[in-house]
Amino acid sequence: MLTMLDMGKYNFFVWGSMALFALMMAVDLISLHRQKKQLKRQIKARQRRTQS
Amino acid sequence: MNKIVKFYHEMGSPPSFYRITGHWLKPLLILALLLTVYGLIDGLFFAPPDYQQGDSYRIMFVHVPAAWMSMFIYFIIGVSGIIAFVWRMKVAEAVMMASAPIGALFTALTLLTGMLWGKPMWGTYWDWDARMTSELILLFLYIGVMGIYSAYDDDPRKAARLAALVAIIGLINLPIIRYSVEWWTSIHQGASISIMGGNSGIKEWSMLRPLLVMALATKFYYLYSMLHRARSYLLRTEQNKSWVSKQFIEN
Repeated sequence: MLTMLDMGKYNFFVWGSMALFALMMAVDLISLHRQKKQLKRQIKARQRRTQS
Repeated sequence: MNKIVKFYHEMGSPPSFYRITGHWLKPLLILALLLTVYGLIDGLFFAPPDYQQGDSYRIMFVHVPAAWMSMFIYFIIGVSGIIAFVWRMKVAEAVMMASAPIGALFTALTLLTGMLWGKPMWGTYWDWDARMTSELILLFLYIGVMGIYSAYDDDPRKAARLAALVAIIGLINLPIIRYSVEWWTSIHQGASISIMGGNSGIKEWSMLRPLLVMALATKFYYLYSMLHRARSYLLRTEQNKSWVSKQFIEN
């Protein structure tokens, strides 16, 4: 199994690319949900203000 | 035919767009994740090594789909920019601005993985050649579209109109990127896929399959991310409308 993970002298470049891909997708996914949460909180607060 | 017309009109109105796309998010994300896992395992472990580039060519399985997406998303931004500019459609504005961050991300990923591929193959991380420079300009265009928008943040409609203008002008960059390796002498290799047949491109199915799977996976992920942001965009810009307040009373 471990021999399959070995890309010889290209280890850094191949796995570095894969790590970058995973990192970028994770950053997008997290920022997406964080923004949505913040927005919902904002709108709810606004609604409470206008109602009272 | 009637159904298609009805669907089109529904998707043009923010409340129905919000309601309909809400059902799509989860399936899109699951599809994207499953295809990514399958595509990467297939590409990293089961595709044979390249006869010239050895194992380093496996960077292609993230680099090429990311590069395709960087151009595809800009094309979507340009088209929705035209729709937003001419017909003042709110959903088009939402799609345009929701696409920009994920497009910029894919462009950055293309440049970075390209550097990691360039170092072992060309002996340098960066070269100011036509393909790389035009892709870098694409990143600046994405940043420009987002920057113009946030500069006029207090009036989202005006901001979107100005951003659309930048996006439309930037469309000229797409054919330049596509044909840069043919018009100028470049150290970048030619296209990986030739739709019209011909001698260029990958012929080996076991190498092509993970590439196509990854291309699909990134498309699904883009749809997920874009729709998610577009829905937030509509909630934010339509805060004073009754359909938004109804969303929050129900929940």
